[in-house]
Amino acid sequence: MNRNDIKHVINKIEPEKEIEQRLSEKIYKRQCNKFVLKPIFLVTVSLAILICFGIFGYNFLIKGPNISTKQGSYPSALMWNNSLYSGNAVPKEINVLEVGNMVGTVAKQVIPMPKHNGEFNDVSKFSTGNQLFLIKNVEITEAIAILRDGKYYRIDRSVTSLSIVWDNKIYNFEGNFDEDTINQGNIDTSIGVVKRIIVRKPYKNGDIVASGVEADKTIFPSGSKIYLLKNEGPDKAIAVEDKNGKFQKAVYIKKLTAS
Amino acid sequence: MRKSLQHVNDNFSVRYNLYGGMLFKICMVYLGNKEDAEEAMQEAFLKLIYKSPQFADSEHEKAWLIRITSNICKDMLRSVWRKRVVKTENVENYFSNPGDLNIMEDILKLPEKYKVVIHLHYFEDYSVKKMSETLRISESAIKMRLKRGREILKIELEENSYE
Repeated sequence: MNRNDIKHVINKIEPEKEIEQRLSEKIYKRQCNKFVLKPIFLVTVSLAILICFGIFGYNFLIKGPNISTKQGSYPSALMWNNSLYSGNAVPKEINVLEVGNMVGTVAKQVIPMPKHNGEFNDVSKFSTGNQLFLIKNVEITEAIAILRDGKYYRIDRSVTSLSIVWDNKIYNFEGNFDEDTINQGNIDTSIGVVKRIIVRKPYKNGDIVASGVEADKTIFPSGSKIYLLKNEGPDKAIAVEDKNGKFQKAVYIKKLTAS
Repeated sequence: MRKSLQHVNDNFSVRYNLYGGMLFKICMVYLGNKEDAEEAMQEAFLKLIYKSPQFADSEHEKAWLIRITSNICKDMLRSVWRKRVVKTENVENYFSNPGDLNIMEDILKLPEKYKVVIHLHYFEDYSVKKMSETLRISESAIKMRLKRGREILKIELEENSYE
């Protein structure tokens, strides 16, 4: 095969005369559609904007500002005892005999997340005026009860999947490891070291408990030092030095049980 | 609006007379059947009429069209909706001589990246440098594709074939 063969062969491929006509018609049609669709598109968009403004105006100006019960990616939460309690997906009803003293009432709906005690963000799980109670044999740091429609429900403290066990107590790492670190000035004496990373019970003192699969569990390698805090006792929180030399706070949740 | 439509039609007609034959050949070498070739040409002309940049001269316009058409054909070949087999049944209609048909079928069986290089070099007489500028591929890559394409097609080596 040589250049002339290729030239000769490819030269024989010629478009039919009708192709020009067909292409011309298609391009002409496309252009017509553009002219026809453009005003239709503009009218449709204008109508959609007017309808949206109408709905917004009605809801906001006539009905008043609406605080949605759906908070997008924000979790359902109530702030109490300076901690967040989550409204469980399936409400856990408890017997009145398990309920202890009343500790307060639900105060106000806010978005996106509650910041002060009594605030909540999800009207499907909490309502203003709902009463809050202790649960017998359960620490307030672990769970409380809420009275709704004559029934008591347990609401658990929101915890992350990373905890540490020390002195037979479970502490939970709540903060953001980059932003919510503790200043060295607030760090007191070292009380021990991290011994191992564990995902299942039984837990022992020195265990970092990673209940979920998450990369954060590698932030505290074995040997990481555990510290007391100067302004909070070990009944409230402790701190652990992470692999980057930052001090991460872990807040007390409950005593380690034998189970 | 009528003026604008008329302008589009005239514009297409002029461009088709200039480039229609060349683009059809490129599309056929890539795609192997005239229905797909026509579809690819339609896309290429639509882009030329509505989305083309400002061309410095007719050579610039031609190079742009070749590159755009080549990309459209490659996209069509890669489309999940298209079987990755070049349909050659209606290529036969263009050839009465079995020898010519065999050559065309060999060209159609080339891997896609060698096709446009072989076509431009042996049919349009493009130099390696010009192909490199047109397709925006390095000269060494063009030479390699030419070499491989030539080996597959068993094309006789010419003197100064890379110039």
